[in-house]
Amino acid sequence: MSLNNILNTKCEWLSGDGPDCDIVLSSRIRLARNLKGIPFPNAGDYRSNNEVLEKIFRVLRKTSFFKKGLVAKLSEMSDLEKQILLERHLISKEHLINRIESGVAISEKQDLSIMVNEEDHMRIQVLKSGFRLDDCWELIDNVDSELEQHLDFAYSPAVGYLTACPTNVGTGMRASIMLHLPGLVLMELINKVMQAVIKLGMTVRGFYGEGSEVLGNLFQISNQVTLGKSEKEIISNLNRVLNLVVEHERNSRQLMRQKNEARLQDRIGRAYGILANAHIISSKETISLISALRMGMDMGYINGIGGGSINELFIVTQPAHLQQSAGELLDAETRDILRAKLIRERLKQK
Amino acid sequence: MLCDICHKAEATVHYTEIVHNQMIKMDLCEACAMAKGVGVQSPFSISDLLSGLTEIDDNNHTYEDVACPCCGLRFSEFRKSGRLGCGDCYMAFAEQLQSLLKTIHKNTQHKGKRYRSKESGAEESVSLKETVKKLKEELNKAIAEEAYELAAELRDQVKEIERQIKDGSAAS
Repeated sequence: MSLNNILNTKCEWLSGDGPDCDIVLSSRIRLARNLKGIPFPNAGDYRSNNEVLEKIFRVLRKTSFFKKGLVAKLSEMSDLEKQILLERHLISKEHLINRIESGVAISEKQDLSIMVNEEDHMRIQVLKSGFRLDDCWELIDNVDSELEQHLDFAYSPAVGYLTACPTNVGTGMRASIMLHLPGLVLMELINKVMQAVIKLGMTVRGFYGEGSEVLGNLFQISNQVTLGKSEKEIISNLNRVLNLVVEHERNSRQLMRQKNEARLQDRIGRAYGILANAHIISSKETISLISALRMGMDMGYINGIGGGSINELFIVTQPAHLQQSAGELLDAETRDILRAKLIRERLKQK
Repeated sequence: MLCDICHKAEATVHYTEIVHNQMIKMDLCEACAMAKGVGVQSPFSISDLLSGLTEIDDNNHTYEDVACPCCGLRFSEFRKSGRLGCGDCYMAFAEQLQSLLKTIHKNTQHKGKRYRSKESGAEESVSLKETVKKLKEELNKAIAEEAYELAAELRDQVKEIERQIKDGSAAS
């Protein structure tokens, strides 16, 4: 499968199904793995990094996981193509900007990707729609067990899988959930809930991971600690805490419905009105309005639009995706016009 | 609306970030947003935090500036960047990293998936036994130097690995 095919195919994690999909957009697990006796990417030189890339690519091409997918060097991609992979959460911002010899492998369904030579030699990632951390673990554990047959990993029985940053050592695992929490934000309970989540040893981030801003009431919650707990313990801990967050979000939506239904419907209706009729719209405004629209849909105020197509709007209205569908590079103003047109068309199709 | 930073130009970039567990909303002008790196790079990096942690640690201990025999990275360089050079650094800086790992993870012993545990159980238990031997040497050294806190941690690590060896041999 070529990069073009990947870019033109929908990703499974945006399908809008799975458990608790009215609040949980997606579940993600990543594992950091390094090769034994070779410097980590940032400490390596061209030769050692290239050696790592070739070695890992040889193994990845042999496994069944990427048979119908893609295994490619980042140096062979255009800036726009890389930007699209970033917008789809298949590579990270750090991976996109670093100048090291690096690559990426993506499965056909785009639920599995491996970044080669990001901060670690390998960052294996599984991404699924809805609240499904256990499914993510099952797949990623399989992939890791297959890869360890062919690659010598840097590992010590005392501190586990060795990583470039000591915050990842041990399991090398970061499990995270993308939550849509407009109820908690509107009821001004979000800071309280976040404080509690942080106290329980979890990290909260925005839509695009570390250091990214909070957009469209989307929050990423993940485990902070990677050493001293097993993968299963970390996941069941997250499951427990996130179930509570989901419950709090449902309660605040219910409260808004009881106390202030007219105001709530007005907000949703206005968001719908603007999205359906605007002719120029920025990506930031789009995300916050789509958030309101999605809440309206999840609460039954708006019918006939599928969760999947709304989730997709979050992504296809991002700058690189717009330029990809236009087939050319566009300035900001033209993008805003094109974005508005695309949204109007999508909402008419419903 | 004026920019929150320079208070002169019109704010056109509206930005929300999480700093110290608080959601902070900011309205910035184009120039200040660029200077702050909004939308370009992360405003806060883990390595800043890490070098902060090792600084704190430095008030109580002074470490020799050892270098990793595999990649040549010095501990002082790690303190600046917050990133290790290779897997062997964990061995080379074992003593210095101990307290850092404890601060970050509240733990110093791996309990998760074991590398290649599904095959070559014999081979693995050999390497485990070697590790126990090394740890015990370090333990004796720590006791001799009256570094009891370190000794207690090493003792726990030895126990955990011995448990793993036992589990492994029971399974096979």
